[in-house]
Amino acid sequence: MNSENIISVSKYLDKLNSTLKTESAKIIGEVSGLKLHQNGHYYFSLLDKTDQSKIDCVIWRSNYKIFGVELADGLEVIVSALPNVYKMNGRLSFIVNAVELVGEGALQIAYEKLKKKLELEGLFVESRKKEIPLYPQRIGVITSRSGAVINDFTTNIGKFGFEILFVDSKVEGQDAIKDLLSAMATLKNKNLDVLVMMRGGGSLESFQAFNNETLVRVVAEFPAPVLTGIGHDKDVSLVSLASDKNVSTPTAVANLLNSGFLEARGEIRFLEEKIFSNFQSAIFDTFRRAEDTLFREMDGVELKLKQISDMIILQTRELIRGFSDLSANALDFLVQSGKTIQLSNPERQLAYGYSIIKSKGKVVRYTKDVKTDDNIELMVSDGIIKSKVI
Amino acid sequence: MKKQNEKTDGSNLNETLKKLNQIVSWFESQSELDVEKGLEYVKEGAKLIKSSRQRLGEIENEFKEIKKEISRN
Repeated sequence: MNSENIISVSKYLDKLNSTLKTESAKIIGEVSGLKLHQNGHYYFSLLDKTDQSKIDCVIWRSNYKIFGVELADGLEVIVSALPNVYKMNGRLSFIVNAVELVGEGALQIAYEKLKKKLELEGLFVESRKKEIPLYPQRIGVITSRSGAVINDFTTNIGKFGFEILFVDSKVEGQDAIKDLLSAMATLKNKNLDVLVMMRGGGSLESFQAFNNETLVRVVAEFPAPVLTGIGHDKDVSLVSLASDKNVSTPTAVANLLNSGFLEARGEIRFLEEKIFSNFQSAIFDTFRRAEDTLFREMDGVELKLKQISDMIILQTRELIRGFSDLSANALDFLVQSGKTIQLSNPERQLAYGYSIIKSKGKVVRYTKDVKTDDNIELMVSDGIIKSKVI
Repeated sequence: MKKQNEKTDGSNLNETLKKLNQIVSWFESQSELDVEKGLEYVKEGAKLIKSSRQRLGEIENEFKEIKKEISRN
């Protein structure tokens, strides 16, 4: 025997446990002999009723809280577990990683019970819900990398400068709980504007993770608003109820995130048009006023031109009249002068029998102007009488 | 007298009218019978009337053109 192959009990069990890690399984059975140890861990046996075979199980305190399934003796469950030999007593037991209820009926009862409890706590009331921001930028997205959901979301999300922090997570079955919780922890302090959780529709059974109490509480307490797009058949998931807003499909989630931006874009377009039309009408009004003023002024110019034309006609008349008056007056003067001259002509006296005597061409006024035998001329009205002074 | 092509008789309508007005005033205030001077003034007045009518006609035409131009728009 080769001494190198001989190992201690402890080392053997370590080796065995390491190998057993690859033997994880989902096992269905009935809970029996459930015990809560003072350290907070749960111990029970999973019983196969067909032949009474059983296996010991342990649920660590931290896990039990997460599962959200209230165990009781006689309850049929599916456990996801890993076989492990407890070194202190050499007994094989299953370390339970997940517990699921079996059958729609049991799930339904658990769902209703939890719903009522959380409702009473006020976890679903509208008043505690945060508003989904109108213009979100940093968006955390939790869903499965594979499947139609993420595809629908990315197809429909608009190009509005979104910064999307995607965390892949299982969304189906009880296993999803740990994934979802870890994804939420990852995104918790990322200063998100909104967190989006999505999955497609399915049976109540496949939704178990989204009815998990721990997850519901984390969603309710999440620092950023949580928007869920979790499809459902009959009952809305409790996570959806606790989230700040729930819509039915990933497309609806995308549309909601787009909506503020789309509205803003519409509003901007409307205002832009308004600015242009206001500006246009302002220009038009100003132009119109200027035109009106111009037309009014033109009427003024027209009137002024008419006045000038009238004035020229008037002045022409005045000028003609002025000159006519002047020449008429001049003629009058001439006529008057003629008359005056006529009246004062001495020859005019001859007709009355007076005569004018001239001697040597001079008018005789006194006797001394002539002497005897001087020739004299007597002017009478119709001629001259030649005579001699005696 | 200065010659300007664009304006009839070189003087603007305003000045022409002012001169014409002075002539008419001279006739109105005339107490002497200076027919010789009167004739001179009538001749000048007639010239001024002719030139101001011509200028006014030009202005009216130009104005009509402008008005037509504006109304068309």
